[in-house]
Order: sequence, then structure tokens, then C-alpha cells
Amino acid sequence: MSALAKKQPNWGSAVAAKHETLLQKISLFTDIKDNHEAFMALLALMEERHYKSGEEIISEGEAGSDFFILAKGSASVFKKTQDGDIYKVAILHEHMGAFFGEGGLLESDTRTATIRAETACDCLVLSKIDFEAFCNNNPAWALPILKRVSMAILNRLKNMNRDLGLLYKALVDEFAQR
Amino acid sequence: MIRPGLQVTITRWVKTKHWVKANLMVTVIFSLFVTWVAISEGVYYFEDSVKDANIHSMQDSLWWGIVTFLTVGYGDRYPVTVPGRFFAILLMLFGVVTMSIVTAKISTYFLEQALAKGRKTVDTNKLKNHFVICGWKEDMEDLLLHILSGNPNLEPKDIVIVAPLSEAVVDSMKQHPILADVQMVISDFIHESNLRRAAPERARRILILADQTPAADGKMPSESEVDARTIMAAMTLSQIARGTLVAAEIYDPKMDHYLKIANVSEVIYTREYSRLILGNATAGTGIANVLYEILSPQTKVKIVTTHIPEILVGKTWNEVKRGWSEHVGSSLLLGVLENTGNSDSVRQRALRNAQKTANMGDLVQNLKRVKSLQFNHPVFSPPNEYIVTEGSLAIVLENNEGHSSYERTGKEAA
Repeated sequence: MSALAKKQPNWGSAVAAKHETLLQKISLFTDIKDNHEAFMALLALMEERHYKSGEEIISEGEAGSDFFILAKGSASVFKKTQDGDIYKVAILHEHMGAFFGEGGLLESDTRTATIRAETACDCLVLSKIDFEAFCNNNPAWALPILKRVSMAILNRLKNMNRDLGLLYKALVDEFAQR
Repeated sequence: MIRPGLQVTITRWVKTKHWVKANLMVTVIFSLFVTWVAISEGVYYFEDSVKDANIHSMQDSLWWGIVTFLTVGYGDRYPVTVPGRFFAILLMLFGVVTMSIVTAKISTYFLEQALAKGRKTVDTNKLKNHFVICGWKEDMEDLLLHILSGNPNLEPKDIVIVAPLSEAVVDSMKQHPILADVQMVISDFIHESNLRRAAPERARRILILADQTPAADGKMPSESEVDARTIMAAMTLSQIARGTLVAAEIYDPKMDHYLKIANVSEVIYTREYSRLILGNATAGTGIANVLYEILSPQTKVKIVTTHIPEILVGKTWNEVKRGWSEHVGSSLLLGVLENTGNSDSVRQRALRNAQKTANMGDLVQNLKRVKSLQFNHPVFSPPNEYIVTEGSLAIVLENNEGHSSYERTGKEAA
């Protein structure tokens, strides 16, 4: 509980209310949408980070264990091809309820994409250690969140399986041609 | 039946004949030496016994012999006896024959040296940014002149021909007022080592001709033989000169699949073209005249492909049309040539662009599109919403005459 106490004073009540509405939009927190107490406990663990326009928030291939929620501004998602060419995948805006790096909540891992601030950006950041502390202290609140995280990962796995099927078919077609 | 002894003699004679033929100079010089010594010995024998004679030693006799067979004939020593004079006649006859053989051999040697110098083959290491032509045509000199007038920045010495040319052809090229500096690799382009002598990896362009020159035995190669040779050369070049632009002339359009595998960026269907033009002429459309006007280097009108300004790449055809006169000039824009350049680099570029998606379905579609990519694909007056892609060239009609008259009127107005 000491971590909680330490960070609590960071938020004024108005800011906390604004952040709470933001968190309510995040799909990972859908199941605790009406749980004010849980959001306050989470917010207490989060810190706000500011990025200048053009700054990289996370970089593809680098290790990281922080989870980010885009609170203000817009940011672009970039990926690298096998040949090292960089291409833009998507643009994230502040009202989309965009989040990234959720894998880092479970385990410190290499990032699979680069997120670069297009404008000045504010992000709410939750570190893996703090999230683990939150889980241990409030297992009842943590369970639905973890369920959502695993569903997001499961979804990604499903997509990957579908992609694999596509690639498999393309490969077979390629060899069937001659 | 031939007696065994005679048979041995005959075989020995045949063997000797072969040896003599193979070593003619050694035989000539050896027999000259032997004859000189033997006849001098004979003359000395007959002359020495006569009082008035002037050959009284073997040394005198050998001196007389050498002066005689070299047809110098000082006359300080001479035979006076009948047998001595008889031997002298033999030596004179023999001397004339052998000396002419030796003289001929020596002059041939020097002549060959001079000819070889004139026929100088390429200096592979010095070749750079040159134009390699594999094969030969009957009207090659005209073709070379056309190439030179079509490429103003190309000089005759930048052209390297790889073909098993006859000496007569090479000599006539060397005497040509303009083409004398054209370099030649006098060997068959089908072999990799011969191609390498033309430094194809540093060439700006390579042209493989459908070479129907008869073989050494006078037999004309068939069209499919010619096409097969072209394809083999193209395949070799795709290995040793990756990245160089290769154009190939081919008879059978069905073969072009293989040329595409060999990364040939431009295929020229000579037979097909003449057939098409003839077919058109029968319809009385006048197309033959139009084509001649466009293609002939003598006329002012030219159809060319030119670089599209970067600012117009990625824009729609409508925008390019509108921006053309502003960014390029007054040339008439006819269409675009897609996926130009070396097919290898075009494919690399397309492959890289195809991978720029996170969606596997899109990736597979993109890669399939790369596979069916058409190189140097002309698109004439595309729909307005057509997007001009990277790697395309503009197809334009240039009229030099019109351009200059335009400038003139501009001046007059000023």
C-alpha cells in the first residue's frame, strides 16, 4: 500500500475525473466500468508522461514493460518490413481510447511496433511492477482486467492463425503452379 | 599384296612427310645447311685438282657456296671445271627455292603481327559504361550507325561487339571512317568467358541480336537455334551482369517467357514487327509511313521515353497531363511505360513495397501482383484516375522541327 500512498497526491480531483472517463473508454477496463474505486486505485499507480511531436514513445524491437494509454494528441504506428523498410500502419487519436504495450503488463517483452508522437502527446503509463501490486492487493478488480488482456492476446492469436492459414494457402498455390 | 618391307618404307615415308609439313622451317634450314656443305665439298674436290682454278681450300669453297645460294655472287671465287659448274648450278637452283621459302615465312610473320595490331581485341579492364552487342547482322554497319545517331552521348569506341567475326569483316570495319574505333571480341557470345571479356557488368546496356550468321561449315542456323542461343546468352548475362539493362532480339514470340526469366528488360520481335507492319499496309491505313517517321533517325519526329519529374510521381494521370507542360515542356504526352529499368531492380523495388502492410491478406495479394509484374509495360492514354507509379517513364512525341520553329516565332514576337 506504500506505493499507492506515494503516488496519490499527483492527481487533482478534476484531472482524476477526466482520466477516469478516459479509462472507462479503454476496452481492457470494460468490465469494471462503473467501479469508481478501482479506477482511483489504478490511477493512483499511473503516471502521466509528455512527449514532444516526433518523439518515439515506444520503439520496435526494444524491450519494455510499460502499458500506455494515449490521453492527448495523436500518434502513428510504424512497423518494419523484413528488408528494414518502415511503413505506417495506423494513426491513433486521443478520443479513440487507444492503448498500446498491454503485453508489457504480463511480461517484459520486445515491442512489436514503433509508436511516434505526431503532435505533442500525453500518455498515462502503468508499469508492470505497479500493476502486479494492484493485482495482489485487489484480486477481485484485477481478474476482469486480466480476462480482457488475455482476450486481447487471444484475439491476436486468432488473427495470427488466420494469417498463417492465408500464408500456407499462398505457399501451396505458389508450388501448385508449376 | 605389298611386301612387308615396302609397307614399312611407305609408312615411314608418310610419317616423314607429316613431320616435314609440321616443321617446314626446320627442314628447310637443315637441308639448306646439308646441301651447302655437301656441294661445297664436291666443288672443292673437283676444283682443287685444277691449276687455273681459284678454289683451293674447303674455306674458299664454303665461302663460294654461301655467296652463291644467297644470290649475292661476288665472283671472287668461281668453279671452272665442268663437274664443279654442274654442282654450282644445283646449288643456285636450290638456293633460289629455299631462300624464297624462308623470305616468305619471315614476311608472313611480320605481316601477321601488323594485322593483329590493326585487329586489336578489347581491353577488358578499360571498359566502362559501354554498349555491348552480342552477335552480328548482315547490315551491321547501318545498324551501328543508327545506334550511334540514336544515342548522341555514345562514341564508336564505347561499342563492344561480341561475335565470331571473319577477318574480312573485321578488316572492313577497321577501314570504315566512323566505325573504325568499335571494339570487338572475336569469339562466340554463347560462352561465359567470352562474354566476360566485354565486361558486361560495367556496361550501360547490352543488346543480344538474333544472329543468323552461317556456321563455319556454311550451314544456316534455324530460327529456333538462333533463339536458343539468344536465351542462353541472356541467362548467362543475368548471372554475370546483374543489374545491367539487357535487350534481346527474338524471332519466336513464344520464347519471350524464357527471356523474362533471364531478366531481359526489352524484347524485340523483329519478325513480328515486320509482319504487323505489312499487315497494316494492306489495310491502306498509312501506318507504315507514320511508324517510319517516328522511328527513323533521319526525321525530326521522335518517340521517346523520358523521366517523369518526382513531383508528378504518385499523382493521377489527369494531374500529370496538366502539370506536364509546366514541369517538362511542350513535348506531347502519349502515355506511360510502367516498371522500367532492369527487371531485377524493378522486382526488388516492387517486393519491398509489397511488404509494407501489416495485413497478411494484403501481403499475399501484393506479392501475387509482384509475380505477374509486366516489365516495360506501355499504357497509352490511361483513364484520368490512373495513378502514375514510381519507376514509370513518360512516353512522349518530340518534334525537334516544331520546337525550333516555336522558338523562332517566340523571338519574332519579342
